Amino acid sequence: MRKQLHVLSVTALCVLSIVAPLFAGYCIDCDSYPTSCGNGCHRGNAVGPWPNNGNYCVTCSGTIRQFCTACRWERFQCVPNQPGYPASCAPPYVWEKISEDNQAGLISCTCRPGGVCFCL
Amino acid sequence: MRRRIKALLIFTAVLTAVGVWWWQWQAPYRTLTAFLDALQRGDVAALYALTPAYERRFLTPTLIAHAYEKVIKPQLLNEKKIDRIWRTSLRGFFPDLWLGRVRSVRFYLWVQDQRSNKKQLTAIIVQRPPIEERWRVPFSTFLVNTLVGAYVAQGRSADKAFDWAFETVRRLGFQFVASPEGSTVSTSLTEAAGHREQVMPSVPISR
Repeated sequence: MRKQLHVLSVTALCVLSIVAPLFAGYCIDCDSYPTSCGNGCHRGNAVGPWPNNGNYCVTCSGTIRQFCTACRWERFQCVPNQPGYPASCAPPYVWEKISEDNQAGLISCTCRPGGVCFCL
Repeated sequence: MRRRIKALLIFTAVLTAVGVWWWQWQAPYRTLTAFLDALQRGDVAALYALTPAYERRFLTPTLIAHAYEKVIKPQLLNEKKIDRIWRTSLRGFFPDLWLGRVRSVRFYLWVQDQRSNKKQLTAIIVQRPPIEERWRVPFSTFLVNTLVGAYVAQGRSADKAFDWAFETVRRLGFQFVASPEGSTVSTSLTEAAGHREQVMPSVPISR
């Protein structure tokens, strides 16, 4: 009986150790946690931009190095729609693209943090 | 008689409009000429006077003089001549025809070595910052562009040119660089990378 219990608990732990990381990925998608993030984490139930001075990211798109697309993103904090439920998703926010700016150069382009691109 | 007056008025109006357009379209050229003259003379005071106010928060005449001696003079002036100037915009290779909302104009410069005939590219950004409403030339941007052009002219990969240029500019004593669009950027790559990691989502969620 004791041995059976031992085998059972080891099996349960093994299953848990495999399954848990699989579910961990779901936390990134707030839709999987409707009770924590309201009806999913989207611009409609988010406040912001957060922080107020804005967050930015920059991306270089395409394989041609003479062209760059600087995107300005802002992060909006998600709000739970049920009182008492903390927004426990990771991340409890959404990114929204505010603007996109295509730039071109003869030799090369680089984008720096802050959405600033240098092209020559 | 009335017809003539009408035609004269229309002609005058069109002429004035074209004149105003021409004058404002030429404005960046005038600043570029002043900048190139100062560069040729090695007039640090004039180069500093042409920089935008926001750049002067980190730029000093001493810094300009240092960069001029170390980079600009050997790369662009010693036994070199300007081969070609090409006016473009930041967004493409055609110049903006109306500068009403345009804040930056880019001039490509090909400089030719008189001994080897090799050509090197650089770019001068002529800017009109909103708080100044006068055309200015950010010196640090020009410095970065010159370094990138020099790096590529040596046959090295363009992919690493900007990182190398920023590192060189930092070693010259520049903590920041003015961007082509009128903001400032840190020259520290480690700081930049950290900042990017902090603010950039791996998978942007946008709905």
